[in-house]
Order: sequence, then structure tokens, then C-alpha cells
Amino acid sequence: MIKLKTKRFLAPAVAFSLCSAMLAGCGSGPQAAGGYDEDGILELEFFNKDGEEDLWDNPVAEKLTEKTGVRLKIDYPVAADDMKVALMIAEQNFPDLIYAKGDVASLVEAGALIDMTDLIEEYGPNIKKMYGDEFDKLKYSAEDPAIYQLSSYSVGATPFKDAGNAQIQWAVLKENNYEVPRTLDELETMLKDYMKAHPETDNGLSTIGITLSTADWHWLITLGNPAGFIADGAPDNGQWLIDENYDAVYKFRSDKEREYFRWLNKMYNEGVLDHEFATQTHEDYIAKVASGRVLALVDKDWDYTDAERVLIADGKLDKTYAPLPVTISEDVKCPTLMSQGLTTGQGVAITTACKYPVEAIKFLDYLCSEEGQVLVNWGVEGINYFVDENGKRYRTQEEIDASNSDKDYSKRTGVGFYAYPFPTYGNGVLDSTGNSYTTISREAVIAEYNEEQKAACEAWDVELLLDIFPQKDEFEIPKFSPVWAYAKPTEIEDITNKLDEIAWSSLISCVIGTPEQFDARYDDMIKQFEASGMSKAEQMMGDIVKAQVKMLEE
Amino acid sequence: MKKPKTKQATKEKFSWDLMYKQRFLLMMSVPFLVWLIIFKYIPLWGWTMAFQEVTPKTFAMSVWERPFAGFDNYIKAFTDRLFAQTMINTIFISLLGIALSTAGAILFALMLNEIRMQKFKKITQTVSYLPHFVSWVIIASIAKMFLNDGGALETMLGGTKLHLMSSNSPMFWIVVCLINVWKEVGWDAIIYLSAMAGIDQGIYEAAKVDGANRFQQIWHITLPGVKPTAIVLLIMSVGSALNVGMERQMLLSNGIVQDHAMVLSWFAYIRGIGANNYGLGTAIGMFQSVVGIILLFIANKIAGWFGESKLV
Repeated sequence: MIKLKTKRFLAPAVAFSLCSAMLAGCGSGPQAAGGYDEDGILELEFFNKDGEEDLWDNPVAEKLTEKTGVRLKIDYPVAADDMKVALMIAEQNFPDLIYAKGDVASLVEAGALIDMTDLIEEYGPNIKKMYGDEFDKLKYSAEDPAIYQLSSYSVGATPFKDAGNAQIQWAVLKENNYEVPRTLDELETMLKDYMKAHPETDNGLSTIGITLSTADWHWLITLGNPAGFIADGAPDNGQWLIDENYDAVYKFRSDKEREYFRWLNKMYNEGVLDHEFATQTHEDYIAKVASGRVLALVDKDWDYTDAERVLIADGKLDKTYAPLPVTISEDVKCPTLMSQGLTTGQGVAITTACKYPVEAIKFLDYLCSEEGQVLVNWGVEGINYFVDENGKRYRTQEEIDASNSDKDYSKRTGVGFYAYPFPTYGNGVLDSTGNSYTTISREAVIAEYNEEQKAACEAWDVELLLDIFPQKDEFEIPKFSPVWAYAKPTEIEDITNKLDEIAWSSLISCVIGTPEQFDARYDDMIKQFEASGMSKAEQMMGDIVKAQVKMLEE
Repeated sequence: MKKPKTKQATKEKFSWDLMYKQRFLLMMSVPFLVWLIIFKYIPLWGWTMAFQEVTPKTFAMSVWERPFAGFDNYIKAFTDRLFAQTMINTIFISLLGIALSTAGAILFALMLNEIRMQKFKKITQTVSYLPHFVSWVIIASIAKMFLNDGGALETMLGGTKLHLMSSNSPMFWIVVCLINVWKEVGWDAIIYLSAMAGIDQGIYEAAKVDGANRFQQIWHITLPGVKPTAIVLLIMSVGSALNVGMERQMLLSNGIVQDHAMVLSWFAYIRGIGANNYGLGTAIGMFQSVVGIILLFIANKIAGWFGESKLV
């Protein structure tokens, strides 16, 4: 009896204490994460949206800690499309440093990032030096000219390596005496002839003309972006085409791009474009490329580089890819080498939860210094690189081979591992000793060419593979930074997300339908764009670009 | 002879005296009531978010400071380009799913029930419910390997283009439901099997004496025998008709079928957490709950028409 009675009083008591615990839990504010350990080393928590597992134990990381007294505790998303940043905001629980990539606008709206302008003024001479004339581009927007983040993309780069608009296996080019296909028609005949001559690869797999990866966000890279490059000859501005009056157009409604997708549709129905592309995952895609059966890609090298490493390791060098300046017709110029200036809108930021902003900015400043840049890009002297009697930095052949064929090289040694997403100089920028900041210089690129690439240069009578492309100085540098990386207000983001949803599935439907269905499906897609607020988004996007141009002119 | 009063018929009226008499029974239910209130009812105050603007701008504010949005979130949800499509998908996928899986489970249970070889029956049953314990991640990748363009099925059929997983059309509903039937049929059949085991063997014997064959026995004895079970299960599944599992849809979908794979819970996730608009997400979730309750009552009513005992 007595026991039962206590229980009766106990239950409400437990309930009450649980309730109060819940209410208390709701009231806590942002929490700081990092702190000093017993050795006097400051540990800062860093969330890297593009990161992977890293215990900060490679030689470069250790050296960075030795020089700055800071170690990073790196957090990263576990799945590709991850809601971690959204959850951070909801929980009001931020790391010290964050690279949020496309999610930065919501962090700024949540007031989670600090304005670095004064800190850089005081503690960041190297940061200022690195960005030089383009420093003002770091400002968030015309209405809010604070610097919330640095840029995760390189400064002042000259491209020495690029995958161009499309890629084709060396084996196919060789059969055609290194004749470069300049238009889609030429590419098409080349692929068809080769497929007819070689219906199967050496290990019995059927040859595939082109394949695409459209299962996840990669559709933007292999289906969306190439349309702009190939059909409009436009540089990468995400889903937007910006005209000379800085008006924005949602690019998939451009008539030229319709012709590009019509070509893909034709290729699909004629069996050149992979019949399985619509349902394969990105892993399937990479596996296919790595098997050497795919003749041509419309991708970027950073995306298929893992597959190419496998091909090299298997000794199938002729199945690796040559960059092509192919466009829809002769009058469209391939925009690969066009310089768009500094890319801003995505970069490392310091959050309001960070208790040591001065230390954090000093750490970032060290990364921007000459010493820091050499360490990050070249590694440790005497191990990863050497300096000859003329003061020239060089790497041993062994090291170069390892970096090209070992896919864990960067992670294991730390060389190049922290270049992205931290600020870094681009290829071809020289330091005070006259050496290039990065391991990639014109000479180094030429020296590191494999046999296939060397043979091609000889056949084309050029030094650099990219010399066959329309050159950098043929283009004007736009007055705005590339639109794809912009931190856009959530209102535009909302509409764009919907437009992209429509485009994603509709474009695939267009491509895998019959040629008769193509126009009806494409028109239907554009009708859906219009119903989802396309013109409003175009208007707003154009205004943002115009505002940035105006701000930079002042 | 006086008809004996059944227990159900004697419904005692509520009185404080009765309460006192049953005080120990009532006390025993208190912990569960407390559990229910804490974990099911108190979190409902979160529904207030559906009427507020909850975006990154206002996350850090307390509940009282957030701007009141009225029905803006609902208007935004209902006018979304995907909303109508999502509703249609959700309703059809779940109705189709309920129909196919109930029919499949009963059919499968009947077949097992008719097997006379005990060992074979046990093995078949065990094998058939194994997929129930395998997560959707694995089921989805097996299914995709089989059904994708150029997958095992197309290869078996000599390379005909079926576009099972690559047509932006209601075909995807059928594909999803059939995969679900494959995964769950063995498990769902267990309940029907036990209901069948509970049917009085005497009835079968009587039917045999009257000359009924196996099919007549199934039609006139077994099926009516499992009808109450089927109705109760139907009510329960209709009540949760709008809660179509999001992970299944996400895992099976791909770039092209996503418009037809979208269901309410996924929609709430994408528009709520994905777009950092928690108010909108809550509004969609709340709508889902309210419609779920309405559906439950409708199903209950229908069950009443069938002359079966009501649940609620």
C-alpha cells in the first residue's frame, strides 16, 4: 500500500522534472567548441562541407600546428546531400570555423558569422596581400558589405590543366590522326566510326559512346553545365546566363541549349549515349569510366579523376581522356580558358561561437603567407620537395608518380590537402623567390605529361594541350564574380531550387524520349519554369549582379 | 430459457464510487498516461511553429519573439508546384500499397496454409519473411540492380527498354508497391496464418462431409475466418495512409522519377529542413496528421458498415 502511494506521487514529480529539463534545454544559446589543451595548443573545431575524415595527423598538419599553435578538429558530412548546416542553425550549435559552401546565406541570415573586416585589417596582412585588388569582391553584398568569409577558390590562376568542354579517349583521337573535333557533328561521326570499328573492349565489355551521371547533384556537372559551355559558349555562372546588360536568364530556356539536348536525345536514340545513364548512380558511372569502355565524357577532370587513376594503374593509358574545345557550331567559342576573376561567395568563415577569433584569423593569415602557402601546396622541405642550388623548388619523379597514381597521396602526406577550401594562390602565381606557389606550373605540367599527352602535343605542334583552345586573352574578364558561387538570398534560392528540380527530371525525360516527343517535353518544361516564378528569379538575379558591378566600380 | 447476459452488455455507468473501486487499476495506467502526455502531447506545442516564420533569421529567437505568420506557411505549402503531385502520389502509393500487400499477404498465407508438408511450410515461411529484417538501403540497391535500365530484368528479356525506373509517370508507384510486397509479404502473412490456425477444424470436417472441395473450403471457411483480422489491419493501415515511408521513396528514386516518388513526409523534409524553413515543414507535417486522423475515422466508419467491431 505504502509503496503504491509513493508511486502515485512519484509519477507527477518525474513528469514535472522532465518538463523543466526540456524547457531548460530550449533556452541555451550558442556554444563555443574549441579550447586550449594542456600543451598550450589551441584546438579549433572546423566543419568542412566538402571534407573527409582527417585526424590532423599528417606531416603537413603537424607542421601547421607547430607554426601556428592551432590544431583543427575536422568535422565533415557523412552523406552527399547533408542537412548538417541546417541542423547546426536549428540547434544554434556552431563550430569555430566553418566552410558551408552553398549554405552560407542561411548562416548569415541566422547571424552566425562574424564580420572579419576589422580583424583582417589588424591581423591579416597576408590575407590582404593575397587578394590584392580583388579584396573588395569578398564583401558579402551591396547592402551588407561585411566580409563574412574568405574565398575557397584560388587567386589569380592561369589554367594549365583543364578538361575543356568535353573529353575523348586518346585511343579514339589516335585512330583519327589526332584530328580535333571542333563541333558536335564532328564528335558524333568520330564516336560512331570508332564504335563501329570496336564494338567491344579488350575484356569483352560493349563500348559506350558517352555516359552521364545524373543520379544526384552530379547532374549539374555532366548534364547541366556542359549545355551552357557547349551551346552558348558561356562561362560557368551556375544556372544563369548573364548578358552584356547584366540581365540574367535561367539558362535551360535558351534556344541553343535546346539544340544541345536535342543532340543528346539523338545520341541516346542512336545508341551512342549510354542507355543506362538515367538510372545509374555516380558510383556506377565512375566504375564504367574506370573500365575504359566509355569513349567520351562531358564532365570535369576533378570529377572523373579517380576513374582515370584506375585506368593509369591498369596500364590503359590510351583510355584516359583528352580535353576537347568542342562546341555546338563553329561560331561558338569554347569558354574554358576565359578568366572570370576571383570566385567569391563560398569560403572559410569564423562563427560567433568562436571564443578565439584573433587566433583563428592569425591561423588563416599564416595559411595565406608565403611560408604557409609553400607548406600547404608543396609539403615539407626535404621530404616532399627539395630546393636545388639555383633556389628552384622541385619534386622527385617518385613523388610526382605517387601524387598521380596513389589516390590517398594527398590525405597521407597532407600535400595539397589543405589548399581547398582555404585561401590559396592559383597556378602560375610566383612567390618572392620566383618559384610558383603551387606544384603546377607551365613547365611542371609539360614535364609531367604522360606518353599519350606528349604524343598529342607533338602531333598538334603545341607545348601545352590547352594551346589548342581559344586563349585567355581572347576574352574579357567579367566585372562580376561567377554567379554559381554567389550566396543568394533565400528567396531566390527557393525559386531556383524549384526550377532545378523541374529541370533535373525534365531534361532527363527529354533526352531519353523519342525524337518526336522531344519538343513537346521541352516546351512543357519551360511552361513549368514559368509557373514556378522563373521571371521573378531572373529579375532578382539580374539586380544582384548589377548591384555587385556597381559596388565594385565605386 | 433466460438469455444469459453477456459481459459486454453490462456497461456500468461512470461514478466516483466506481472510480474508487477500480483505483488500483486506474493507478496502474498512470505511468502510461504520463508517458503519453510527455512524449506525445507536450511536443505538440511545436505546432505553433506552423503559424510562425521560422527561418535562419529567427532561429535564435525564443518562441514568443518569432514573427507571427498566420496561414502564410499553409498557403505556401498548398500552392507549391509539388504539393498536388505529392498528395496524389502519397494517396495512390499508400492505397495501392495497402491493396497489394493485403491481397498478397492473404494469398500467400492461404498457399502456406494449404501446404501439408510441415517442414517445407516452415522453411518457406522463414525464407519469405527474411527480407522484412533487411533495411531499405539494401533492398533498394538489390531492386535497382534488378530493375534499372540495363539491369538484370532487361538483360533477361533480351535488352528491351522497359524504362521501369526511368519514366516520370505513375508506373513508379506500381514498381515501389511491388518491391514493398516482395519485402513484406512473408511478414504480413504471419498474422493471417495465425488467424487461419485459429479457425475451428470441425467446420472444415463438416464441409468435407458436405462434399466441399479445397477451393470451396477456402472460399467459404478460411476467407470469412480471416475477415475480422483483415478489417482491423486495414483500419490501422488507412489511419497511417499518409505516412508513406520517406526512406524507401528516397532510396528508390533517381533524378527522373522524383516527381512521382515524392511523398508528404519527404516533401516536408525537403521544404522544411532542406530549405531551412521549419515553419513550412511543420505546417506540412501538421496537415499530414490532421488528414491522418480524418482518414482513421472514415475507415472506422466503413468497418462499422461491414458489421465488424470498431476500433475507436
